[in-house]
Amino acid sequence: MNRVTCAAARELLLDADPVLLRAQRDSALERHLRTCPSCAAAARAVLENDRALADALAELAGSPRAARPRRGRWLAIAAPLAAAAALLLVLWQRDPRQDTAFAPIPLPAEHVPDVPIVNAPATGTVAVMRTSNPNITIVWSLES
Amino acid sequence: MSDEPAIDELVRASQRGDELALARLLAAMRPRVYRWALVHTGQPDDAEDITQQALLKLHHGIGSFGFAARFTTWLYAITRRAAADWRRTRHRRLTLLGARPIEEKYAMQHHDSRSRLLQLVREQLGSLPARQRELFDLVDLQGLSPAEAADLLGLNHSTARVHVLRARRAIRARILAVHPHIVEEMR
Repeated sequence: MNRVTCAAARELLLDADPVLLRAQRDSALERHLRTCPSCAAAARAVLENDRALADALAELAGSPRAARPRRGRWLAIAAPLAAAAALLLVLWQRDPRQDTAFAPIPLPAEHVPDVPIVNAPATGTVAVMRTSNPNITIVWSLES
Repeated sequence: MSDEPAIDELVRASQRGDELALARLLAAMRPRVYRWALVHTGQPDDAEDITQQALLKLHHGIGSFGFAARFTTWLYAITRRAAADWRRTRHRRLTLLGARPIEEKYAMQHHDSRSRLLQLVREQLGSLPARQRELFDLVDLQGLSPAEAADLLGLNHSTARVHVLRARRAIRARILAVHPHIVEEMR
């Protein structure tokens, strides 16, 4: 059975697949990590750093991996959407030819849904995209 | 990636003119494209611009996608081109204005949690070449195998592996350097 010294382990730590740093299998490095507190601490520091970085990117990208506040987020979106809806409603009423405008549906605050709801134009579809900024939701109108 | 079949289904439906499918596809791909863009730029606003450019190109070009490669590979290539355009434009703008890179502005104002996250991403990935950054993200942070990441980027498998190893080495050397007690005990 090959024994790994701390110096060799340090070299291996720089390149090793993250799976090996968890020391749950039986490679020479993993055996060493199970018996050497200093090297195990170094491996943990690397893994914790990777996790922090992965969480930061997930959080910034708004992907589901990171926990995000939900209701406050959509309340923040709903208010500008409701304001935009009111504005579009006024514009629509002024121009009777306008029959394809899409607008958010104004809802009472207690009924704000988890996802924004918009009226799609009769001739097309809308794509609703959350952004990393909780105050901004992008809505594309995909009209035929 | 496990959601590939569902994505392919949305792509096919979009190509048939199903706008609802296209809307779903755009919404489903946005976080992924944004993350790729963020890894390239380290700037949320610029990443958003690149994301919108890439999604516009997806919208305009989806009819020409022929499934010769995976859809995500195609989209990744679009995002990289949008990021390259962004780099060129940014360089031109900075040269014209004689301005300092915007990173300095961000570095001075990491006072809220979002800025701290950005600061972390920038510190860790900022000094790596673009290829190493994207491969480190795909393999070590998102859990793809080096071969999957290589396919996604259209790279040779061994080239991808070398980039991952170099990125790991650079990032981990820095971590071990800021934990001198660990290094000291290991000597």
